Amino acid sequence: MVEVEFDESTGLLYCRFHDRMDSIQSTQASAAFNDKLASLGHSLEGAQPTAVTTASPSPVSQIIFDLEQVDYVSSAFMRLCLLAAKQVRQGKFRIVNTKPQVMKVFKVASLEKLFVVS
Amino acid sequence: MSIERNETAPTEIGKTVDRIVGEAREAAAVFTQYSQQEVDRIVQAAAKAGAARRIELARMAVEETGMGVFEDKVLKNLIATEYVYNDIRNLKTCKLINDNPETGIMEFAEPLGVILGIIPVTNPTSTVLFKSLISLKTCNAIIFSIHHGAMRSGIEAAKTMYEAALAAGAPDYVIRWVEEPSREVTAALMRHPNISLILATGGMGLVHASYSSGTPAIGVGPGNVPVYIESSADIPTAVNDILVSKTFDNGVACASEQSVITDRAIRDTVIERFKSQGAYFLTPEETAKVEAVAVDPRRHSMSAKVVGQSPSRIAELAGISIPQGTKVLIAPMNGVGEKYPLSCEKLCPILGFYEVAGMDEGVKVCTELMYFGGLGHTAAIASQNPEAIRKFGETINAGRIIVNSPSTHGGIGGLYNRIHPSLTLGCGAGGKNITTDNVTVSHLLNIKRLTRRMVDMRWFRVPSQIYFEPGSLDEFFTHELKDLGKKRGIIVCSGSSVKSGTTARLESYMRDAGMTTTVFSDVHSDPTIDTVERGAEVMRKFEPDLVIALGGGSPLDAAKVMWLLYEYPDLNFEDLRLRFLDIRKRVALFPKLGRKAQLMAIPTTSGTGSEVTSFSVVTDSRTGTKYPIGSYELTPSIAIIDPTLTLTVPANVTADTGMDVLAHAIESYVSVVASDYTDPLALRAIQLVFEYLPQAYNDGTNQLAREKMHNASTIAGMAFTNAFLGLNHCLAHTLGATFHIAHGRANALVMIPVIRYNSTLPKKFTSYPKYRFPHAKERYAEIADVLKLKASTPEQGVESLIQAIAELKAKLDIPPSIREMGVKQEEFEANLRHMAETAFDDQTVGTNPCYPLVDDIVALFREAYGNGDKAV
Repeated sequence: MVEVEFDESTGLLYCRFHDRMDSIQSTQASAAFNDKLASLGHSLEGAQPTAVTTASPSPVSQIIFDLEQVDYVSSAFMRLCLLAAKQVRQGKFRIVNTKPQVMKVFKVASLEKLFVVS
Repeated sequence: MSIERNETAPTEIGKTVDRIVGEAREAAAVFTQYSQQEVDRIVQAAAKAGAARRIELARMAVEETGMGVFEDKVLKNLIATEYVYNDIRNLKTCKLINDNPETGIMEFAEPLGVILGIIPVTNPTSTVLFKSLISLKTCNAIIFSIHHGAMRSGIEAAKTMYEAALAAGAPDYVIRWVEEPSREVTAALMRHPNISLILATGGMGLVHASYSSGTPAIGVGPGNVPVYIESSADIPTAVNDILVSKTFDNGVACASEQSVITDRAIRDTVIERFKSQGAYFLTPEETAKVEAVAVDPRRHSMSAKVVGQSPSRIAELAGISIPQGTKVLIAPMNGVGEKYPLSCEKLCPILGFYEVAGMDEGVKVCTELMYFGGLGHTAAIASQNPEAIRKFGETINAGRIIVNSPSTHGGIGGLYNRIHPSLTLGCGAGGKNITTDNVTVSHLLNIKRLTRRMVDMRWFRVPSQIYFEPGSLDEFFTHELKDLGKKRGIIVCSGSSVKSGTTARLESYMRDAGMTTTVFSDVHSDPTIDTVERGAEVMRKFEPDLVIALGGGSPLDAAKVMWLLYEYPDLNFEDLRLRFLDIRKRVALFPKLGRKAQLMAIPTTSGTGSEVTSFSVVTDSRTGTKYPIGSYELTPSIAIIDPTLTLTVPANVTADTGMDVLAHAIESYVSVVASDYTDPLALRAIQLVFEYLPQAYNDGTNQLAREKMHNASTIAGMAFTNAFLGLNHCLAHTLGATFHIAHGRANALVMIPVIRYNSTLPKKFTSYPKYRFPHAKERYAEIADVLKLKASTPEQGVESLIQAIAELKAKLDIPPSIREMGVKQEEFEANLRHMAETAFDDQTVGTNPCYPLVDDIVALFREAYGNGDKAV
């Protein structure tokens, strides 16, 4: 349901999602996303608090969600997007290649202040 | 996602409101992706869940609010689920909802987004159930703001619906509610930019706040429902309906009766029946005591402490004693207004009671009551008299006018009638609401209309009988006339037809066929309204069943309008001459002709084509203005095209009328409404003119030339009566009228500048669905091609055509310019602006390939005037 690639030189985490991102798919994708971040040494913002560690800067500085293969997004997927937006600085999270009806969902949800959708 | 309209820093309330609205917004966004099937599954699940919990929720509501009747609230919950669901279950509310090939319109549903549903204390659970269903059905998210007096039961109902919807696949957060309501929270919600609509079911303060918030709102109004028991009413049913309605939920429904009005003639029976069914009539002293508790004296409206209370409770509060089991307290009154406190709305089992002399007084009292705090809401009438019912409906201003049914149940809808079941009843302008509807699904959708380009059906209409050939006149009148079965014939013509002996000839034929005949020969050129009215008068006296129009354009045109006025003496001339954009959608309709007489047209010039057209031009002699009158009703039934009648036409008239034919044909070919049906006629007429007009001009006795020109005239007429004309004729009309130039000659004088103008790219486009893009230049080139002129490019075709026309004019001794006609420049310039404006206003401008600007017309006239160096 998602492929995640990390480019060390640019700090870009590129996530390609597939198919129908209903509740179940989105939950699984969220888990995969969180795992990848953890494996890169990134401590999640806005998730459950973990044991206190010495803060080390995360290697992830940009995140892109590529939705070219996605024809439906559920509420759970929206939550994943909101979570992803919190992991990087303003403007460094983007959603790209949306299908028109999926772009409409982001437009209606009025989330432009949080991230850019194209 | 901060609240854009609040300038202060986000407060706790602000944050709460933002969170709730954000959640609902997200749900609404996800909901846009759902199919009708998915939505309907959700709606059904929610309706079932709500109906299943109706008893529990009703009990909670009564206990929490302390008002109403438990069993009745159960019924309300059932109406709000079962009846509402049944009303909306099959409606299409998602994406494509209607596709009508006949109108070319596809309708799509677009949800609104997030709805703020205000929930009143009087119907908390039922309103939540109702608004949840209509909101889910329309793919909207809804946030409930519940009256603080009904919070727990309202939220419980909301939870029920939400959980069922979620389980059936609805997006998370599709139903939200405020846990700790307050005025500030409600106000913040109302103003929030991400709320699309407020459904404001509640008191007037709240409705007003909704309207002032800046968010679109559908509000309700107060009711002061009168029920008029008219003398023909079935009294037992009427009384029962009122009691059923008024006791329902202890009278909290805004659609319940507040006052009973009854005809004096049946008053005693009504009172007896009420008493026998458990109503108690208050004495004046008792009325005063009840007033004291039921009505707030400062606000002149009902007191909260009696709302939804039982009669016994009210009696207790008022300190009066009433029989056990009393269902309703009735207070007889003889006035409406502040001096009669119980004439206001009382949402409890108290009714006002009035007696009236009859229908008129009854309606007046009902009107007074409606105006005393209930305008636009609901009114009821019990009657068996359809006329009384209709009159009541016509006069009373109420969104719901309930006949012979309980007004509570009737107003809510669905049970006793076929209006939409709803718990939000609009009161229209009377209640300062946007609608009088029972609010339902249709109010929560935006309909998007996709409209395809549509071309209207067109026609080809010409006389059904056209006879031609030299000698056809004699032949028809000898052999065919008697088969028409006519008895009385009138010939309309000018003096010349009498002088030539033609009328005598026709009259002789007519008498042989057993007809009585007469002649009206007082038609001169440019027939006037006056002439036409005189002719019509003669016809009314003579009562012909056959009208024969004989002559040039003038008698033909005059006869058409005389015929019209003969058959319809009451017609208003002003209406007939109104301009129209589309002859079929015109404002003033023409009546059907032919009830009294048929019209036969015999042209003696070649010609105006009037024998086959639907037009007539009549002049107002007082102002000199020409009025074209157009209607297919005016088309003659029979036309006889006999060229022998044209042999004696003088050369200059031959030339002028021949150029008129050319103008008709060319204009109908480049007209935006030219069609496959008119094109061949136009082209053929043009060919005939170029070949035969010079011959007919040079030698009037040339029979073949006369025949061809006569046919060309009729054929061109058949073309332009269906494809219409254009700028050439607009200019010719006003030029001819101003400088007394014959119509055909005036057409000739402007012909070439008009062709040049039409061939250029239009500055202003003519809009007509069938005309896809400007192509007049190509059309002129096609004409050149048919005439076998050089037309290897469209531009060359246009020039070749212009050259050919210039040569034709020269052969006919028609001056090449207006100047050379002898019109003085100063006089021309003095009239120029007026002529241009008149031309612009001409009926025929609409089908010209370019829509001309007045300045363009001025330039055209100047070009036609000529400056000596340009060849026109």
